[in-house]
Amino acid sequence: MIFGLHSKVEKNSIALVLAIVLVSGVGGIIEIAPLFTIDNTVETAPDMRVYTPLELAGRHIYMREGCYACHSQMIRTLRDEVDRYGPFSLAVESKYDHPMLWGSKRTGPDLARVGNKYSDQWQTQHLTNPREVVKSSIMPAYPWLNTNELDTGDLSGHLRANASVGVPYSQEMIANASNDALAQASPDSLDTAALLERYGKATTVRVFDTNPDKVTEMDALVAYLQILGRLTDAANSDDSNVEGGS
Amino acid sequence: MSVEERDRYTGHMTTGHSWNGITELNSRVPRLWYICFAIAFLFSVAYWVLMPAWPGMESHTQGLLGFDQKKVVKQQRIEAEQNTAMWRDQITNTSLSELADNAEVMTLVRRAGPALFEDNCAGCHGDLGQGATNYPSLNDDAWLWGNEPESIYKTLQHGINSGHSQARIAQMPAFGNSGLLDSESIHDVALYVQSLSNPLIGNGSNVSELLQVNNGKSVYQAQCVACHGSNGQGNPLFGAPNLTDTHWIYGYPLKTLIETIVAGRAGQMPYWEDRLDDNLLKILSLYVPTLSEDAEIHHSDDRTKTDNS
Repeated sequence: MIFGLHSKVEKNSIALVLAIVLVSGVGGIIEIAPLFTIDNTVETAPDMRVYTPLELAGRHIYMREGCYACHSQMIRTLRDEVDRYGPFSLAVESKYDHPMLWGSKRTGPDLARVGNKYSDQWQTQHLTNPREVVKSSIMPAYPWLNTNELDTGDLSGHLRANASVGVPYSQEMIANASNDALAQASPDSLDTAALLERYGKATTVRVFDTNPDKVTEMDALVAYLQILGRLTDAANSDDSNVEGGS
Repeated sequence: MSVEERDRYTGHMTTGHSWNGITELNSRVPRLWYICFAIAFLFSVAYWVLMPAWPGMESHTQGLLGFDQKKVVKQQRIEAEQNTAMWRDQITNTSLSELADNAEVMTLVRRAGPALFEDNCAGCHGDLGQGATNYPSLNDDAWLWGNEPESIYKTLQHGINSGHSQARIAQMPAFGNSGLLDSESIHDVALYVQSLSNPLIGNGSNVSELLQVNNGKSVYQAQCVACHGSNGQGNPLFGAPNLTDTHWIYGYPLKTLIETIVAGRAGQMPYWEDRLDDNLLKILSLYVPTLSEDAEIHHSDDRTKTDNS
């Protein structure tokens, strides 16, 4: 019987070590093997674009303020979620997210496809005081984002760090990260042409926080929120996916 | 190592280990535990066979049931569409004006509308369409682009100043920031705009005010008529608001009006054609005009209440 084998193995140290190696080896294979075939489970998205420095800075503010604690960025493969939020999230959509912000709990709604759902003005007003636009909201207010000037000093470093884990930022993008961040929120800036050259014509250049006088953290966060779900069109074009819901 | 022996109290074997005369029983695994273990094991074997489970070098095992949650969602949505095919076809193939006259469709619109509105529109326009500062109310009789379902449908599809290639464009110039008007003219024209809906302003009781309003009127005639019309009645072709009514998007105080004229306005409404399918856009286009009817009902309710009390 199996219990007889067990009593023999536990009394023989070499046999016990071999048995431990065998069992944990099986566990290891089950955990590691999917990585060899990961290409089969991640969809392709040739149109995928990277976050601009301003959007990346906004992403850092999103993390700093703990937005992920109440908002997920993951539309699950459930009908009610697809009905409410749009096509379910694909793995490839988080390709350049380091770290990913899928979240596992919702106090507020999912934000995976919130980009372009509201105007910049609404986002700014809502972050400054949520009750001003949604009376019943329980979200905290973040008024300091309007006054904190955006610190772009460390953006080159952030781009380099992302590049080292596979995000295709070029040397030129890394070197100009700070200028590009400021240019994206300053439509009249001389650096705008270079920004569009580097990140593509579809990059949105505008004043995001309704205040053209300075580039604030609000600019960065709204720029980030407005790009959520819009880095690639893969979710709409994927054969296995369904059309956007209500 | 001492010899394994049978414990004389419990009848179990001992392990043969003894510490100061205390010996360790080698009792069997409880039967219930053993059965549960066996069931769990059998379950997992069955699961491996039926469901996607093991990774391989090329792909993973697909399972005999061919289960795929993505397909499940797709199927559920197809079924939901089939259940509603009757009215979906009707809405797809009928023009908005015909639909608006169809009582059956409008019953449906009133049922489906509130949830759609709440999910997508209420964030800016309020849960009853009452609007807020910066966001037009939808439950009154003041409309920037007209309140026919067709106009609302176009606004929903493409948005206003939304970046969509067919978006409605409404841009009030920044008369102050661009240097078109000096601060005195701006003040006077703001006062004139106030006078359009407030007969107390510039009624002659205050001569300097009257002069300012008159000066404002000539500035208005030179700069503002193209969009807002010679009498300030607005123009739905440009989304230019009526200035003679009491509905204000950004506010009626002189300070706000001056801000508007100095810096201009370009309110933004997102486009929805990528987000909502065409039937839902049509339902919303039919639902939005009913908001003002509902508001009227509320108002008349209020009046009845006051009458009764």
